[in-house]
Amino acid sequence: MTSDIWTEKYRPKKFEEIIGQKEIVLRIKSLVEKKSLPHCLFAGPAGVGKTTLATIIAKELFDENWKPNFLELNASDDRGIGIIRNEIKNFARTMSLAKIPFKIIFLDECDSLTRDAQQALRRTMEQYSRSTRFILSCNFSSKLIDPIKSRCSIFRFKPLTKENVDEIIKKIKNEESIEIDEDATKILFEYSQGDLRKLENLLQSTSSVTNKITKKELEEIISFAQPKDVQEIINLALNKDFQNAKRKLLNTMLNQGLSGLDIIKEIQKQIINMEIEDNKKLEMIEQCGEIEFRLVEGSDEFVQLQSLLASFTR
Amino acid sequence: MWTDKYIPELKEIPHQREIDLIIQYLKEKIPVLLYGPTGVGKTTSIIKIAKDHNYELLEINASDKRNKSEIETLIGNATQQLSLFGGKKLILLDEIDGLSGTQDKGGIAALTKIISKTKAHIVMTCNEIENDKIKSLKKKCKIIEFKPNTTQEISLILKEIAKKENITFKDSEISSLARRSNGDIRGAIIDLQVNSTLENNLDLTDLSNRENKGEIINALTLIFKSKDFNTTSQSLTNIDLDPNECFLWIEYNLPKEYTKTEDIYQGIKKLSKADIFKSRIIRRQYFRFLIYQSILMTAGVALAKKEKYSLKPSYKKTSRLLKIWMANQRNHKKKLIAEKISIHTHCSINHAIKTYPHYKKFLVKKSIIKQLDLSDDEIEYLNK
Repeated sequence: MTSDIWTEKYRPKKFEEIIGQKEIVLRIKSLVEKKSLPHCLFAGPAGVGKTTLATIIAKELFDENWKPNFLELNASDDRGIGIIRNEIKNFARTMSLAKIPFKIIFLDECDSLTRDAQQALRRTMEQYSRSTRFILSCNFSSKLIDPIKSRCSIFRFKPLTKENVDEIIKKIKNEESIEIDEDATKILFEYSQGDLRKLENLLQSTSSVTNKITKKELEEIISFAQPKDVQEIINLALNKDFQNAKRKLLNTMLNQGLSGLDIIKEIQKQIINMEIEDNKKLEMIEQCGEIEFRLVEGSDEFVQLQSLLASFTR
Repeated sequence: MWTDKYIPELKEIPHQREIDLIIQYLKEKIPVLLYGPTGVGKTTSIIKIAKDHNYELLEINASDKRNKSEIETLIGNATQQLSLFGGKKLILLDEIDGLSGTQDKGGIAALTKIISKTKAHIVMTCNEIENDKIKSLKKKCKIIEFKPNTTQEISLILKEIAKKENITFKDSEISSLARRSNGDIRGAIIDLQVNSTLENNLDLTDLSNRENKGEIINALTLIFKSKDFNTTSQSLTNIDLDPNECFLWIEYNLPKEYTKTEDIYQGIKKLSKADIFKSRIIRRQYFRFLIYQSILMTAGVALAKKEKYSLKPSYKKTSRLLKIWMANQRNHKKKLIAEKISIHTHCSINHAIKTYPHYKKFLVKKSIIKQLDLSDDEIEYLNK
């Protein structure tokens, strides 16, 4: 079944279709051909092909039978030890149905697993290595504990180059019969930073508005998706309008489903780019740090953010 | 608190006939059960009897754990030992209808057994005599009713206090206060104190009836209008509301009362400190932090203002919880959609939620709706 969501539609189905990461693809391909796959760790930025490569491995090994032999889990949605103890163990416990003597567990974004979960994973990888291969993916391998890294063959994915990105844009342009001008191509690369998922989502949402994609159209969609509200909250507070800043804060958090940490990260980013007196800027950043610490320690998001806003009104 | 400052002497309590009965039964070592609504003087009477008749008072109230073994040890010990000062011991079991079914398991049964076996000076109090929990207990003791105080009785006491505090008042206002209290003399004294905090003048313009909401509003008035540490830090002690709920009340109404930015800043700063202690209580399971939490959110907020504000806004209940609930309902649909995107496109749910504004633009395509198997509800949400 082909999908109409572009991130799926243009996801490579074979090793040869993968753009970039040439050496990694070659090495993996020979491992798959010999049917002797070690545990793998794919490290690298988002949207460069880690998930894609993992699914291709499964497809090549198991043919059309790949789905029951491939478990995909995303650690950033369930970061606790439960994911290891339940889902992974249950899947790993049974033997593979195919000719290949092992099944594959793909654990995405595993740098967001807690330390406890990583410790649990380390044992599980050993216990079930006869029946299962793990493919772990992460953005930063430094966030994984050493025992896990030592059990895996590590593949470091590189960010996609401008040429890689242009190649994909060209492909989509022809396939979808849309027009993308030179400036827009540049913006697409700058915005996506080589993250294809980001690029394809932006391109598809823009093309749902118009067939002729220019710099202007792209910028409109980008700014629509960015939180302007946070800037407004900061401005209200700086204008000493505490009541409205507070109201806007609550509405923004609730309507967009943002957590306190999401908000404070955004506030901090915005302050850095604001044109205010340096000492004031420094003071505000210092406050942000204190409040972010309190949030991490488990204090009430709304109360702490309010106190941040109140400090801005001075 | 004036309720402590003007605690009456034994002969000043309106329930003289009941007090004589209690003294009589105590002499005969017959257990007594007092019942009546809150604030009519049950506990005060006992405290004063103990003082005037040389009993050493052992008070066990709802704040103590009162299960079977606790009660057996406490009362058992107390009845068997002589008082340290050679006097008699008087055991007061306050609010026995507040014995918890789970936490204080077996408490009532143990109590019933003990009072039928041992001869001791025991007085119990409760609000509801028809409570099923104390059915068996009732048979074992003498029951004395404390009727609500009459309006005249309360008026007299209020006038007495007002004179001592140099408050100017009209007779009609005092009797109005007394009437609204529904016989609750403690409540009436608090109302008197709260409504005369502004310039020693009794002003009843927005006094509400004494119920839960009234109590918290009185406490808020105390906190926002006063700058006195002792009065404000005690303001939440007699309130029948969870401290966290009180916190929400204070937080919501603070910027309505305080309008100067510096006052808001100092006030919220204290609230955020109180909140930190709240999270520390949860993390460390160390409940003494509650003291710091409650002082910071009451006296901390009260002392945050430079000057008192003369305007009095009408304090309201926070709408934040309702808003959160409604948003959760809305975001729940978004999350369901994000889950489907996540499975379909191999990305995390978190990522799908963050990129939702993009997806919103093209998910409504018919073929995609089918591929994601979106429900009618979810389609409706997308189109909003």
